[in-house]
Amino acid sequence: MLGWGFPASARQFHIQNWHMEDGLPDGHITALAQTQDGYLWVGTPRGLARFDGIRFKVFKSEDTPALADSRITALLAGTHGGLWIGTADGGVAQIDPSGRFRSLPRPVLPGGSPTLAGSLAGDFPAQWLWSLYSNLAEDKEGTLWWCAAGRGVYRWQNAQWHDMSPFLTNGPGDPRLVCDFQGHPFVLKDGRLNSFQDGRWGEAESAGRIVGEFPVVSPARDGGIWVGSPEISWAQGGGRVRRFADHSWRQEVQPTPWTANSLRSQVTCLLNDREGHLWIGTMWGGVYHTDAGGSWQRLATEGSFSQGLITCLMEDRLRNIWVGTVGDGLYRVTKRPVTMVTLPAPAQENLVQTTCMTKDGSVWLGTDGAGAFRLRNGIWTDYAAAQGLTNQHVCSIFEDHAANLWVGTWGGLFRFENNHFTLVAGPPELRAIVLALFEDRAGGLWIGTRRGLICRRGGQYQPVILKPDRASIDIRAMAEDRSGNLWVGTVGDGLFCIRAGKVVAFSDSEKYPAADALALHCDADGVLWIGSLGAGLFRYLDGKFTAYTSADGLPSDSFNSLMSDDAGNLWASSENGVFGMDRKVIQRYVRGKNPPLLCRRLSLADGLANRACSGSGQPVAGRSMDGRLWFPNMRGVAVFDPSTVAIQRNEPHVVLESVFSDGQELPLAFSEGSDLSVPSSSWRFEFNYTVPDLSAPEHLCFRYKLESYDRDWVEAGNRRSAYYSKLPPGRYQFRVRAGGSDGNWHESARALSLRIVPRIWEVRWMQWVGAISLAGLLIAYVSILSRHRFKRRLELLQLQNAVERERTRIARDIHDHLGASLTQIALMSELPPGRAPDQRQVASQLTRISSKARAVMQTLNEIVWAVNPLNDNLPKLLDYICSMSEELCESAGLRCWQEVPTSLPPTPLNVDFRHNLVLAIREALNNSIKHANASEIWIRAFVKKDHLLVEVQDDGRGFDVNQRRAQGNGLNNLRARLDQIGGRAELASQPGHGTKVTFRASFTQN
Amino acid sequence: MPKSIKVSIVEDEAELRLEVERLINGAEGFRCLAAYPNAETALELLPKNPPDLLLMDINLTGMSGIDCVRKFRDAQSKLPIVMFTVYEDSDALFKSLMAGASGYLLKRAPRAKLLEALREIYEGGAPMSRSIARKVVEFFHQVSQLPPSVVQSAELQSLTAREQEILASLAKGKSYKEIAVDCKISGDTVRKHMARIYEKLHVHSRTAAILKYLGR
Repeated sequence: MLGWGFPASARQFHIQNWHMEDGLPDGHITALAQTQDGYLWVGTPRGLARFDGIRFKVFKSEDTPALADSRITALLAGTHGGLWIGTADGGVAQIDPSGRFRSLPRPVLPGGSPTLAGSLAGDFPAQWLWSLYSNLAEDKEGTLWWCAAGRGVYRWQNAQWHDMSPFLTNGPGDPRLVCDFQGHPFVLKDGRLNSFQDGRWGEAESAGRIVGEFPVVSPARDGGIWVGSPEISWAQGGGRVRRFADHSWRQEVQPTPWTANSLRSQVTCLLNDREGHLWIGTMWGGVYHTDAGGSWQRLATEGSFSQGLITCLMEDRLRNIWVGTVGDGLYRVTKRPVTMVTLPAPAQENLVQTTCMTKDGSVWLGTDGAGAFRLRNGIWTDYAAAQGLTNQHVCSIFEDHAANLWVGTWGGLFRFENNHFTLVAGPPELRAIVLALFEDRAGGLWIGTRRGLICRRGGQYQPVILKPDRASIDIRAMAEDRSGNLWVGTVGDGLFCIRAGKVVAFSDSEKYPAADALALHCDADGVLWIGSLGAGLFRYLDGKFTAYTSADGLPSDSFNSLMSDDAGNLWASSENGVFGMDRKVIQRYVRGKNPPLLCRRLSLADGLANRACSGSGQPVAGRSMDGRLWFPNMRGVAVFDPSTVAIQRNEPHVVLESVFSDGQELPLAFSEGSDLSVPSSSWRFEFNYTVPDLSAPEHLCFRYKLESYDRDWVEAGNRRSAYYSKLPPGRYQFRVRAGGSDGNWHESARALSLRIVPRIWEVRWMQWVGAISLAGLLIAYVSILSRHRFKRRLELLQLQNAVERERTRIARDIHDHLGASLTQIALMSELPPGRAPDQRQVASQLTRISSKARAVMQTLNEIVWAVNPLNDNLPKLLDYICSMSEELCESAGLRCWQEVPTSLPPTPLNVDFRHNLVLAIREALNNSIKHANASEIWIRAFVKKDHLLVEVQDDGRGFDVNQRRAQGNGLNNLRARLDQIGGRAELASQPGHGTKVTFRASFTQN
Repeated sequence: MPKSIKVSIVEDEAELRLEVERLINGAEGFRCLAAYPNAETALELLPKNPPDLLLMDINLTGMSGIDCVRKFRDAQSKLPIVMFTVYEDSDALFKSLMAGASGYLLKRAPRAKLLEALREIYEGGAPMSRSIARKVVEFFHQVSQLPPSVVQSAELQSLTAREQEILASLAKGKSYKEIAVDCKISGDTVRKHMARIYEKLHVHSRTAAILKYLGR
């Protein structure tokens, strides 16, 4: 973006340029239009760009399906809010007011073929012709008209194109279509002008033949249309620009301002602006326009703009003129409201300190060191020592009600009479530097000096003591309020008020917090405005001071002067330009609640020669009789008409432009009430919003808020993007507001509803389920673990217990059985000393020893067998039972029959089971052997699925089972043994028929 | 007078070895030829001094008695070997029979019994206790369960019906005489059957595959 400054004399316009580095898709602009929402649309051969004042958003056919061709040749803002787009392939597209692209079908040619009517195929014609290629226009009913070079003129009605060109000649020329400001269509082709009225075409014969190739047409503000025609050729003779209205040529541009006999003199476009000025764009000759006086000016005399190939001209709603060029990009031409009045030479380098408008229509200017100047009817008169002005440093010039002119200088107060300055005599303070002069309603003249305040009443000068302890006070400003109180502003001593003769000091207390009061102004509502040096602007009403600083949006905190205009605006000059504010807006302003104050700023771009304004006394600024305001500036005096400047901006139209999620643009819902759904895996969100403002978009303030996320509004300043990352699942609403010049926040019409769809594990109830089940699993695991451990410990204890018991038993067995026997053997084998052994005794003793020893071996065998864990199974048990019973029977001389299955399952048995069963069986056997007087014993074993049955039967004498005594303790013992292993012992016997003992032991009792 | 039966013994307990030697020597018709302290010595020295019978302790230091028996059998020795053991561990005894022993004796058996058993074996008898008989039956039952391919390749034989009958009767508790009566055959035939059974057992024991298969 480039901004020019022109030499002081030609500083009428502020020109700004945008090119590709600013975001334009191409430096060649073919069409311009502004839609109702404020956006500027720029058509180029490489796409359509939408401009909001700061950023370009480009639409190309690659990313916009409804836009079939990126080569834009025509744009028209529809009366119903959308945009019509004409493209090089002959098609027309539309953006409806909601922002959706739509392409219109191609018109059917006479003859039927619907394809590419009049497309720019193959070689493109000369670049400047692109913008002339097709025209779009809306008639007074709002119907769209369209014509394309080489083809016809069509009207879009009932969703169909209607061919409107049968009347046209078949000549080679391209038709030109235009609607005048009343909405009547005109078509110029082959030199003939046709107008469409009352549903019919009629040739405007009174227009005659319009000669020449590439004519240009444009609607005229005074009615009708402007026609630029080359006649023979533009290069020869310069061509003609005429206005045709009411069936005749009404006006002609004579003489044409551009160079005749040059290629540069070809007119490419025309614009009649709202003020009635005519703008003409040429080929390589820049832009010409008429000024207020009606004479022609060239817009630029230097630079590439002055030789630009102009393709299109457009006026926006704020009266800026937009210019499209070939290769030079886009220009905005804004009229500078401020003109600078500079002092005549040699005082050009001097500063103007004060202005005074006198009743005779003169403008008096006081300077620093060059004396005083008077401008009257355009003629300057300077006043210096020659006229009695001994001190050239003039700080204040004031005319009182009696038309006396008082001049305050660094050398005292002068009075101007009869073209001569006389130094006023009076108290010594009058000789000090006089900076401020003021007359109250009672006619008293107040003189503010660097030494103090002096009041002149009835010709008498009376110093006024403001502070008894201060030798001199620097007085800079004075004002009288509605109640007649006089306010005095100083540098260093703050603010004073003289009420009914009594001086009240407002400084050094919390009432007036600043040390300086440089400018004072009492407005029509009775509000006192105080401009300080560095502390901002103060408003005093009903005993209360309210401060406004740069934090509230003011351009500066130091003020030179304050002034009101007729429209209720307060104007101030400062070190950062001149600015005006609506007083009502300031009164309503509350910091934090209202947007920052949007002042109408006048700065360098508006014509101010220097940002800093001069003048530190009173009066500084003035209002001339024509209503213009004069503000002294570091370079001359800035003069402007406040009525042309204090433009009320429309309510800012806040637009939510786009939403990006992880870099992907989301389709904004076009219907109200529908949400934009996004999965919760998205990380980054970007919301883009703007207010299309083509004048001063850099001063807009925004604030946004994401409902359900942000606790409060986020102040975004001038930023037009909001960023969020990692939003948790839920529903959100994005709202954005812009601060308007009316002091209120304005919200976008549409709020964006965003829904972050949770992934399955983010759904709240799912999380609860997950958490609960996890907790449940944890509890279950812990409890299982602990139970398992407990069981293990129990098992271990049981095992230890069993082992201990077994060891105890073994020890006992060995002790009991073997100990006794071995002792006996030892005893028996000892020969009694002395006597010789009897052979027979010794023999019998030896036999006894032998059998005892054998018995010990048998016992040992048993113990070893019982202890060996390898024998803890069923086969080994039955083996042992068989061996044992065989041996017992054999040694007793009985037959032993055994019926034991040969295939045995290797069922594990524990040692208790084996031991007790074996002992029980042995006891039963012993009973049979010893008591039953039997000769044969049967041992039968039956292996069942879960228990073992062993029968011990003898063929002895048996007994009566009912006789208890016969049973004796034997059976009880057996029962006890089997009980120990969870089994049963049963006895069956009949006297004379033997005895049968049945043992039943279950395997599962392990 | 029938010549004395020459018995050699293998026993690692020195005192017991002496006692047994004395016992045999003191018995009518018996003579202790040699008393070896361990299997290695026996394997080395016995061929030079072959006895009629060998009495082998099962639990020896160094090579076990069962392995010694196997070694003897591998060397094609037809010497009858009787296992001598303190405990009647039928598994170990069966193993030794498989290895090639001809019978067993308990160390705690009375003198008369001991000598009787030795004489019986010397005369070609094949004593078998009930528990051993049952084990034999079970063994052959397992053999019959093997897949035919294994059986054929190892040239194994199963018991004949008569042999099975004899073994079953033995297991039940019948004496050889009773069996002979029951089966209407002579005592000699019974003895021959028993010898045949032993042979089959010995054959099977030499077959490594079978041993491996039956996990012995």
